[in-house]
Amino acid sequence: MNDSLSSRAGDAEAEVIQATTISFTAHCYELNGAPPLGSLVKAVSGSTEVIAAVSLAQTSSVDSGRKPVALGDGRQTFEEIIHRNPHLSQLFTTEFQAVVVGYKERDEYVRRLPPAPSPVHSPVYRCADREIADFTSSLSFLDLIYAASLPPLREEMLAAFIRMAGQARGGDRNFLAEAGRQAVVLMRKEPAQLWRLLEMIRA
Amino acid sequence: MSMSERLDPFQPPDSSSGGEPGKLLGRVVGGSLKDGVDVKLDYNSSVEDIQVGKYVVLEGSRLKFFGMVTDVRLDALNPEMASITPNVEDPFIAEVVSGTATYGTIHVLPSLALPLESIRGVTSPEPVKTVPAHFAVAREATQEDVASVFGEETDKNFWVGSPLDLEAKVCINLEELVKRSNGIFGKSGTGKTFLTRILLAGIIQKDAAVALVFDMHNEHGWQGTSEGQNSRSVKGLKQVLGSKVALFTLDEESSRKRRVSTDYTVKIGYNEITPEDIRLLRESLSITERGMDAVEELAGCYGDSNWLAKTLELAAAELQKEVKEKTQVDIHIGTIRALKTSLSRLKRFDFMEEKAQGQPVQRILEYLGRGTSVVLEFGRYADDSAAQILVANILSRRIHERYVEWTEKALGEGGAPPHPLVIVIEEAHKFLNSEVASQTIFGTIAREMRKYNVTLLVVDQRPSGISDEVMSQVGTRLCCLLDNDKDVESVLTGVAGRSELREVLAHLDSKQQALIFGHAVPMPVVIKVREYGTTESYAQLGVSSTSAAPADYAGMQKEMYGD
Ligand SMILES: Nc1ncnc2c1ncn2[C@@H]1O[C@H](COP(=O)(O)OP(=O)(O)OP(=O)(O)O)[C@@H](O)[C@H]1O
Ligand SMILES: [Mg+2]
Repeated sequence: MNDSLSSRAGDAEAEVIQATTISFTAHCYELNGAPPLGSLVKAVSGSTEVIAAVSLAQTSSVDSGRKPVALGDGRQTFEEIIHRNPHLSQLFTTEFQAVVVGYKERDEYVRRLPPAPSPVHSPVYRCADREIADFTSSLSFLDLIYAASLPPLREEMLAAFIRMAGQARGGDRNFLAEAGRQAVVLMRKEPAQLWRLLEMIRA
Repeated sequence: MSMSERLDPFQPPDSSSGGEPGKLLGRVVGGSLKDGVDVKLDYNSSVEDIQVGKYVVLEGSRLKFFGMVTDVRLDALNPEMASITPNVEDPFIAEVVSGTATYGTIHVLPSLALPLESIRGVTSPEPVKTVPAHFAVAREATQEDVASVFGEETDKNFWVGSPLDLEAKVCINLEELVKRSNGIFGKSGTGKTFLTRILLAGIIQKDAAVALVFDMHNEHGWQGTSEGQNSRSVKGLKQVLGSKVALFTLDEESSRKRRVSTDYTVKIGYNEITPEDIRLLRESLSITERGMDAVEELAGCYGDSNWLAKTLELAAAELQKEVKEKTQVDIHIGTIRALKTSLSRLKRFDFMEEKAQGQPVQRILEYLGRGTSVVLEFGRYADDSAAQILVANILSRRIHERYVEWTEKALGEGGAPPHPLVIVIEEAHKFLNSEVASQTIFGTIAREMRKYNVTLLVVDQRPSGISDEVMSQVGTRLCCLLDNDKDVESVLTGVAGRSELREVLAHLDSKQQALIFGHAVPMPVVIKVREYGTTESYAQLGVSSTSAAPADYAGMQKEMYGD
């Protein structure tokens, strides 16, 4: 993971191509290069950073009318197929969606929806561990993830996010327990899914 | 600040005015003044650590409430959560789930409230008129909290024990205590005798009153026993308090056998037994209603101080004749014969003599007047109700008469009233059941309250046997475990928060724990009774040789007996 604090344009991994108040879609510069599920990213424009958690990644054909077909015959590895078809990266794109969980303005994190969505073409960076630790020092935004993600993805998404944040915080057990408690409150109506989530984040 | 603290949205405001606040238990989530409030336990507090009877404080925004846990309950955020069981074998999941998905709720009955700003000032807690608002913090009480309600140990405030799970002293104001009759209740073996001994030691040590103890089972005066695995003997009041206690006995032989040296042997003369005394013994002597009528006639004929001797001495026919001559009443000869048989059973009491030689009442009063408490041992009459009722009544009646005279004289002439007297009776239902309470001196004393500075300390394992009227006069009640519903009902009659206290009472430890409520304590509280029987306890409860009797003893003696 990128550990630098500064957000240089060269470090961007994607670019916003569609944005709503609650989520945005970003186009990855690299095919199959979406950040992991649940990871924290920021879309930067001017002095504002919109913070979001990756909720869904998708790689598909550029031309929606053209249906991709199988290229191998069962004997090649993935790498061999790619190597023999260098034009593939032109035909496919990888995009991801991220659920907006807050923003940074004048060096302060705000853990609620920003007044306006990120402008299209804002570069998107992965957040560094220290940024993640700062942002997750309060978990009051967890319900934004809960509200914007749908079952059956919901507990997977929440669990992935919590695990990622836990790792960024050096595996802090108290953090995981507190996040678990918040999840209990959010998912009180779905006990079976809640228990599954707890299994996924257990320290 | 640790992560979990920083993340806890319910982290209470730092309320560090005064000493360290007690451990956070949870927050108020509902309730009413009538029924008490519910406190949802924080995830750091387990239901298993909280017992019914625990003393807690509730910090509202302006008031601090003092209360007692009266119930503990398990709740779930969603009922399905408890039925679809999570993997609680995993310590992490168990930790997360407990206190959030599933949690404990404690029910707290607040009794007193204190404005927060003046906790260290002069204001003392007042009875509650409202409840703490939603989300008020519930904490374990601290020593300071206990002291702000029950006061510090002083020359009037006596330490009786400590709240559950807390090293703090719960004190009783002895001056207030002895203004009314009080009761110590609990089923057999729960520690009534020990608690009585402790309380008496306090009363005597701090000169709150003098005591007259009818020691039916010979366990208060010289030596008592502590049951248990290795039963051992514990010191009695005389051994602990020395010259502040005198030992009287009804049975010299028994005392001698037990190597107890006594100060006086009590004898009762036939001439001291009145028809009222016999009425109390009706059942144990099996005297019929007709027999009682005959007693009245005989007393009318021979006078209150002669009738018994005459009845025992003369033949039935002679008695019948003399009564008829004097009062024109014709008693059936059969009735007289039966009565003579019944009354002759009094002869088996070795403490009875035809004509009283000594003056036991006078002697008791002398000691009491000097500020010395008197313990009367019953010796071999430990299980003899008739002897106990007879002796306790005769002595108490006379002593009470003297206190009445003395108080009235003091009122009329403006002298000092007598120092309060506490009369201690065990198995009190024998003296105070509804059939006899209206006739015994004890019923009278209970009803008069402190009018004549004489009150009772009743000790009983069957409080339901005591008349409701007497029970309603009992100012402060110290109740050890009671498991009979009727007994529980009777000790709680007329008490606020009865249904909550019932739970508390039913769940006390089987020994050395008591629920105290009533006049002398600002609020109901469960205590672990202080230890009695250690060298340290004797030292704490004894008297230093320098402590002098209060000034009014001297005056009282002068008034009563001349210079
Ligand atoms: N305050 C105390 N300090 C030390 N031991 C105690 C105390 N209270 C009770 N005990 C223990 O409990 C035993 C029973 O107490 P106690 O004799 O006072 O019960 P009781 O209620 O008077 O019983 P009973 O109804 O049979 O007379 C004692 O022998 C003693 O071992
Ligand atoms: Mg006893």
